[in-house]
Amino acid sequence: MTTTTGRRLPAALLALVLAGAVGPFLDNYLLYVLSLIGVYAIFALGYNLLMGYAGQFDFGQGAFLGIGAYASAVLQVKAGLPFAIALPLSGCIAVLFGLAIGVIVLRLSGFYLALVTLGFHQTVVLGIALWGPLTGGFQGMTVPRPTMPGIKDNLLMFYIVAVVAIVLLQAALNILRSRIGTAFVAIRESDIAAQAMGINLTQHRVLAYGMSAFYGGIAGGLLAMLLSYITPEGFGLVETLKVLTMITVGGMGSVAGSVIGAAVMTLSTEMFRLPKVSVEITNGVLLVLFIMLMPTGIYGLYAKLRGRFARSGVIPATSVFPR
Amino acid sequence: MTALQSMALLETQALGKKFGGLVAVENVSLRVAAGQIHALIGPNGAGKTTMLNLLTRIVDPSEGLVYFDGHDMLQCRPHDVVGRGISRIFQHMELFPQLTAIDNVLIGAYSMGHTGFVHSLLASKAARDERMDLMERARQALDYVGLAALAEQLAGTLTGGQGRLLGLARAIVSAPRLLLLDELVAGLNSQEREDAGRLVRRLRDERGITVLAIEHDMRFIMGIADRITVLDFGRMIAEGTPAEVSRNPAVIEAYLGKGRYGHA
Repeated sequence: MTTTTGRRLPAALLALVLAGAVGPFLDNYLLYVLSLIGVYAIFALGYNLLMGYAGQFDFGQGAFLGIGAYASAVLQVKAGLPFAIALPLSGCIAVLFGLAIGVIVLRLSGFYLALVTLGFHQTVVLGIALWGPLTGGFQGMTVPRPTMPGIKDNLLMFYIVAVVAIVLLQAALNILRSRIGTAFVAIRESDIAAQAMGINLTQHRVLAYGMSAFYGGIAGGLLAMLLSYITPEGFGLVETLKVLTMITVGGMGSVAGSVIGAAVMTLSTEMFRLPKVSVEITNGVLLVLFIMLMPTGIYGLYAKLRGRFARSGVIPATSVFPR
Repeated sequence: MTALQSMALLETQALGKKFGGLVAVENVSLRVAAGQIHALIGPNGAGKTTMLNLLTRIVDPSEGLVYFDGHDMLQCRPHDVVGRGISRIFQHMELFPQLTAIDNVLIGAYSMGHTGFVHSLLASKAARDERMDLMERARQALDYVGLAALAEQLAGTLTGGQGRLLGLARAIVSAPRLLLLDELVAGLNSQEREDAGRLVRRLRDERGITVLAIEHDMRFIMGIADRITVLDFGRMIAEGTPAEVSRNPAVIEAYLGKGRYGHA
C-alpha cells in the first residue's frame, strides 16, 4: 500500500555501512566494476528522472556526462582545485548547460525535442574536441586521481562513488515522493491535465532538465576519475545510447530500474569482455528486444509478477511513486 | 432568491474569441450564481468548449472580461486557475490510464501542497507531513465518489462510469468552489448517468460547489440544472430555468429541432 512516505535514511545508511564493510575485502577489479556500476547508476537515474518520470524525450544525455567529466578534469588540472571541490562544481556546470537546453527546447516535444537534444550533444562533443588548449583536443587528457594516505586508490574511489551514489539515490527518492515528483509524472502523462491541476509546466520541465544534468555531470566527474584518461570520443552518441538501454532494460520511470539497468549492462559488458563494436551491437539488440518484448523493463516485470501473486482476480498495480 | 445568493460567482462580460476568421464565441455575458448548477448547452460548434477554455485560461479571449469571485481571471496563468478555486473535467477526462486510481487523485491534489524544492529534496518533516495529508485527501476524495475499493487499480482498467467518477474525484480533491464539467455523461448508460448526476448534486448540496456543466444529453441536464444558458454559433440565444428554456421558441428552433423537445 501507499502508506509510508517517511524517510528511508536507515536503508541508505545500511547501504553505506555495507559498502564500507565489504570494500576492504574486494580485489581491485571488483572494486572497479562496482564503482563503474555506481557511476552508471547515477547517470541512468538522472536520465530516468527526465525521460522516465518527466517524459521528456531527450537524446543528448551523453553531453552532460562529457561536460561533467571535462569540467572536473579541467578544474583539477588547469585550476588546481582539489577533487572534493571540482566534482560538485562540475555537477553545477552541467546544470547551467541543462537549464539552458531546458529553456531552449521548452516548446518542443517528441521527435523535434529528440533531434535538437541530439544536435546539442554533438555540438558539446565537438566543442570539447576543438577547445584544445583546455581539453587536450582529440588526444584527450589525463585526469588526476584523488589520494588519501593509508587507503589504496581503488578502495578510495569505490568509497567516493558509493557515498555520492547513495546520497543522490536518496535525493531522487525524496524528490519523487514529493509534489515535484507528482508534477513530473503529470507532465509526462498529459500537459493539459497537468496544467489544469495547477502544475507550472515550464518550471517543472526546466527543473527536470537541471536535475538530470546535475546527475549526468556528477556521473561524468566520477567516470573521469575512474578512467583516469578521457577523450571527447568517449562521450559520444554511444554513451546516450548506453544510458537509454540501461533505463529501458532496467525499467523506465523507476528508481530501482535505473540501478538494475546500470548493473546488468555494466556486468554484461565486463563479463564477456567484448570488443567495443560488439558492445554497441549488443546494446542495440537489447534495446530493440526490450522495447518490443518487455517495454517496462526488468523492474516492470517484477512489479507485475508481484501484483499477480499478491491476489487472484484483479491485479493491483504498483504506484508510480516510490514508496 | 436573496441578494446574496444572486451574486455571481463567475461572470463574463462581452466575452469573445475568434480563431482567424472563425467566430467561436461572441459577446457572451454569462453569470453563474454561487451554489447553482448551471448548464451551458447548444448544438455542435456552438462554442461551449471554447467557453471553458476561455474560463480556464487555456486560450486568450479576443475581447471581453472574466471575473471569478470579483477577481479578474485574465490576470491568471493557466496553472493558477485551480488555485483560485476552479477545477475542470475535460471532455475526454484526460485521466492517466497507466497510473492507479489513487495516484491519479494524488496528482489532482498537487495544488493543495506548498513545499518547495529544498524541503522536497531533504524530505523534511514539512514535506513528509504534506505528503501524508495529500494522500489522505486523495483517499477521502476516492471514498466520496465511491471508488475506495478500486484505489489500486490502473485508471485504464476502469469502466466508463468509474472513469467519470475518478475524474470527479481528481477534480474535487483540490477543494474547488467552481467545478467545470465538459460532457460528463457522454457515452454512459442510464444507470451510470444517474449515478454521476446524483454525485454532482451531492457536491453542490454537501460541499457548496458551484457547477457549470456543458452537456449534450438534454434529459440529464434538465434533471439537474437550476439554470441553463443556450449558445448557438457562439452567441447566447436564451437563458433561464430549464422550464423557461425548454419553452423558448428560439431554442426549440435553433437547437432542439421543431417540436421535438416538448415530449422529452
